Amino acid sequence: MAEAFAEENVLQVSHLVGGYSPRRPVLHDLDFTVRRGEMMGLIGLNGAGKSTAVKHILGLMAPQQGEVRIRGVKLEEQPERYRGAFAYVPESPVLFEELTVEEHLRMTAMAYGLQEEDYRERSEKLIAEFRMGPKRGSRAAHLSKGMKQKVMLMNALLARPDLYIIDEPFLGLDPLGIRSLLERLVEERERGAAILMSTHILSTVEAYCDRFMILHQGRVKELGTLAQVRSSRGAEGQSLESIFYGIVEESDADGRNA
Amino acid sequence: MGETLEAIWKKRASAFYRNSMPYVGYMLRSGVPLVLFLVLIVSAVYYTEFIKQVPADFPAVAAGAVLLTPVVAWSPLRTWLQPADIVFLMPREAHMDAYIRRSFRHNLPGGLALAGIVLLLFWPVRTGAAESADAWKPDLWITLAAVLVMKAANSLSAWRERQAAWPSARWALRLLRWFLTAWAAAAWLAFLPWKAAAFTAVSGALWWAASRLAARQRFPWETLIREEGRTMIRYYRFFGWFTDVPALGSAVSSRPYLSWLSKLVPLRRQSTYTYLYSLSMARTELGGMLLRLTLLGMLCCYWLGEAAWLGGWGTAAAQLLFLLIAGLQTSSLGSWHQYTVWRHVYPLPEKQRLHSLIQVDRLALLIILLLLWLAGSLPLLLQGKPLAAAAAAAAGAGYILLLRPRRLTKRVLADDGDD
Repeated sequence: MAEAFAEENVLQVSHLVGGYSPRRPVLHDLDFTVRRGEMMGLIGLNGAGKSTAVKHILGLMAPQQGEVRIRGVKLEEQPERYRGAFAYVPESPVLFEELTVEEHLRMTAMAYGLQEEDYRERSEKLIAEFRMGPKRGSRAAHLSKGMKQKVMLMNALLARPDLYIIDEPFLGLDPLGIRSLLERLVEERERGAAILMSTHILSTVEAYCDRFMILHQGRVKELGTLAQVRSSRGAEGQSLESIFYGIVEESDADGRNA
Repeated sequence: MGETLEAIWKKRASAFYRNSMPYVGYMLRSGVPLVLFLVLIVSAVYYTEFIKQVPADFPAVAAGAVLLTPVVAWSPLRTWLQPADIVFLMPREAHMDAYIRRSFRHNLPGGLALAGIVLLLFWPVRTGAAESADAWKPDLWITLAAVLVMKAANSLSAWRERQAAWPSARWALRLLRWFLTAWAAAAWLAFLPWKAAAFTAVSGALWWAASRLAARQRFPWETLIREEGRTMIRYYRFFGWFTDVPALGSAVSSRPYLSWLSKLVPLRRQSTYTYLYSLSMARTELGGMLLRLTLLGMLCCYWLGEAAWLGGWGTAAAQLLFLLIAGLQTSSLGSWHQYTVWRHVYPLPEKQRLHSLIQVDRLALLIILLLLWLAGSLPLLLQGKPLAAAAAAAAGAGYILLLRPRRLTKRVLADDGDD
């Protein structure tokens, strides 16, 4: 039973308190799950704690309280299972200047233990889909920012992990790139992958994400489907954007009155 | 398919050395090896003279601890890790042990050799010093073994430090480790081996207990990547003394205790570059280097001044020497922000760049001179030797106010002419 539960919740963040200094926590009691075949949108203003939350999930920062489980295990319990279960796309592309597009893909295939055959098939498909054919032999140093971002996404998609952690994926992508990405993410979701996507593009969250979470000043302000959040806030018929503004203004006013 | 992590390590290491080779060539041609060789010969001559007759009151134990502590405690680790590894290598974290072991194998032998050499070089001083003349002389082989064991232990402890999750804990542990290492080094030079061993064991246990208090990460990716970036920048900055190195970015620290300097700059257009240069100097590695250099200089000048070496002229010369070295460092400011895109985006007062540069350079060097002078020449004044003290101040001021602006101007104009 425990195993089935763990498998259903690909990512499980429980009562997480975190930050770089125990005296000044940035995240306060973060508690949420991302299930199989679910796309979760993570939204919040700059400085709301999204990146810190992502770093905790990646295991780059240690929780001060609470825990993070991916496929039911904590990082220190089974690092291999934990690390191998997700692919991460950072906010700004990080590539090895001296490696070509294809060499990056190959490196990812190694890291996630892909078979040669799978690697060939998947990488060809991705290169075609993201229109990177002419650039496949170019070194990262010679790519534009948007192309670098495409390479990051292609690497994540190549691994076909159980969980995608994607930070601001649309920055610098051209319209076709955005469409390819969204189509591929929908496919991955249908395959059963869980996706945690942090973004400022609220219309995309509204259109594509199954559930979303609004983070403000390190706390979860709302969590659920659009319908759930609408009814919890008594905001029937309102767009995600106006709900978001409402929450931000409300807590800023609370902050001033406190 | 799969490239082993060790193979990646090797590839990165050889790439680094391959990229460094041309710079080593420039370095050899610059005449620095010759100067180093001369310095070595001269210091060897002085040193042999010194150990023939170590002064009766020479504090051999303290001097030994000061020499040994940095070489024993300082435990760098080349990991070649870079930001992209968070995406591409992190999935293989479970197997990174082999990778890091390779790094240890790379750094530890050199560290052990250095610690051993320093001890061997220092040994005649210890055995020649009066402190041990009567009762007991420490045994070289036992002490050497102890130093090597301490070096290895420091190297492992430094890894535990890197694992600490909070930066404050990392710093506290490092401070404690250096402190305990200094005491333990002194203990091995001063006490019977069994006492020193007991002291060292207690120190080690204390540090271990302290390190258990902090939350730790299994593999500290971000700490290692940051450290590697800093090391890389240091190497390239060093090469930068001999030739132009393609910009590699630069390590930045906040140093809040220096921020007040930039607040003194008035908010007006012609001061834009002054503001930028003063902040650049305070926040980048240059500021750190100047701080360390000034502190070291103050210490040396104070010692020489207190002893009134060569009638006080020793400290005066040392003050000037440290000022000149600081001047060499600040000269690099001239090439900063020369190619920045902001020159074309912002309406920066271009004509003021040189002026601002000279202004910031002058202020920084004057502060450094003042500190060196206070440390070195104040003791002279108190001992009634005003001549050397005044000469140091006058020569320093002359260099900063008269000689230096001209040199900087020439250098910057020459650089601009190259464009």
